[in-house]
Amino acid sequence: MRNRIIVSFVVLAGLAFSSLSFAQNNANQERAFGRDSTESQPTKELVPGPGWKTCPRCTNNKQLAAAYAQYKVEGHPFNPKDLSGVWGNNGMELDVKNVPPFTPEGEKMFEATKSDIPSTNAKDGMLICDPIGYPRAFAYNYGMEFVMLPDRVLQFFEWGHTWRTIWTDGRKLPEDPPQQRWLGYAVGRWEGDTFVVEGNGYDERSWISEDRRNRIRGFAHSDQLKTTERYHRTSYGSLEAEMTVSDPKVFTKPWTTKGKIELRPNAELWEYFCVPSESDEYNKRLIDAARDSKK
Amino acid sequence: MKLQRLLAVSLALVIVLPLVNGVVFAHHSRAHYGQEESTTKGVVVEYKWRNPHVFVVWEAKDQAGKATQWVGEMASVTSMIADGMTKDSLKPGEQIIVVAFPSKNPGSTEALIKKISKADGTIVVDNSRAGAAIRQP
Repeated sequence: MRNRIIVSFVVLAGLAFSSLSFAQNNANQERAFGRDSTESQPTKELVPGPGWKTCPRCTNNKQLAAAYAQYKVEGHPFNPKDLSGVWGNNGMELDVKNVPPFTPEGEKMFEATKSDIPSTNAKDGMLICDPIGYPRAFAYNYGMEFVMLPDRVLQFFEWGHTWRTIWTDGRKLPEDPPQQRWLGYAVGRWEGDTFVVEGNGYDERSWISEDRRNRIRGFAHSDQLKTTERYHRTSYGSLEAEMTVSDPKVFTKPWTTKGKIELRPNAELWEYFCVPSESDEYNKRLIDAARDSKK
Repeated sequence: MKLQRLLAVSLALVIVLPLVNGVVFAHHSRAHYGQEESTTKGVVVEYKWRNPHVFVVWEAKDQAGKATQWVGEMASVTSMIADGMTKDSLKPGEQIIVVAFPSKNPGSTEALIKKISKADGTIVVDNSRAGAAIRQP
């Protein structure tokens, strides 16, 4: 019995090790975006009924492994120019180990996001249900779905239950966007088998991402923010993704993140709305408690 | 003795390493929760199957009979589904045994849930990762 306990803890220690980098640059890891398995987790997925599927984030790794076998993902034929499907369950975290140096103004903007309490990012608009915007929705989305249409690609996000339109009809990005948007403006084109998406016109109230190194700051951006994404479907179940963030007012050079996003063959998007009344209650009961007690 | 040392080292790895790194949190930090595990028996007062994080309120009495209401934080609804919970997992009035990590803040009655069992031994949720603070919201 004692040996079994020890083995369990050793396995857990291994999980802790592996989790250190699972959220970013994990092209070499299998099921990198899954929810680690624990003994008590169910093997059966929770579905609304026959014919319905579970949600991307409702799946643990045991279930995902079974789903990959059930849907014959390995070796499944695919069209590299068809990105259709439900992908990932948490987005692809930006490479916070390689954040480019800030400009002096960028440094000030970054510091201005610093939380007034140490336990959470209290200035994060997410806490009051501001839209998370783009590219933060790339880095954090609870799963997303591409829908391919003749003149556009729609990208649906579970987080916020929202979508953005990536126009593929040949139009160019607006040189001077008349209105900043939380999700910006996006146009896409194919370079061989790689779908390239360019975006601009992002609302300055959004963050590029929260800073997951210490959770108390966010990466702010200016009206000069531009993004370039590259998606390459290398197998039926795998999407290589690259995000380059360029903002000359904030960073001294572009910031690129590379990784892999996995297909969720057993999932369909449910909904994750940030509901102000729910968040308000959560903030009062759990965040404010942390705030008050630091005094 | 050798086995105990191995156990201690393994446990330390589970707890300490993710805290040092910290990149695995998704959006709400949990830095204010301590690393000391606490087990209490109590009665469910409230079960909030809500986002951003599911939480349970339970009332526990100390040896002197003084009642305290604890608020136990978990993760988002969808993450808790992956861990086996549902909207019907807990009901007010049920007796539960809770293993949790109380806040480090003095006088605080908030805690990060690791494990909840019912009086008959049924496990409601058991997520050892909570102890390592590596769980995603």
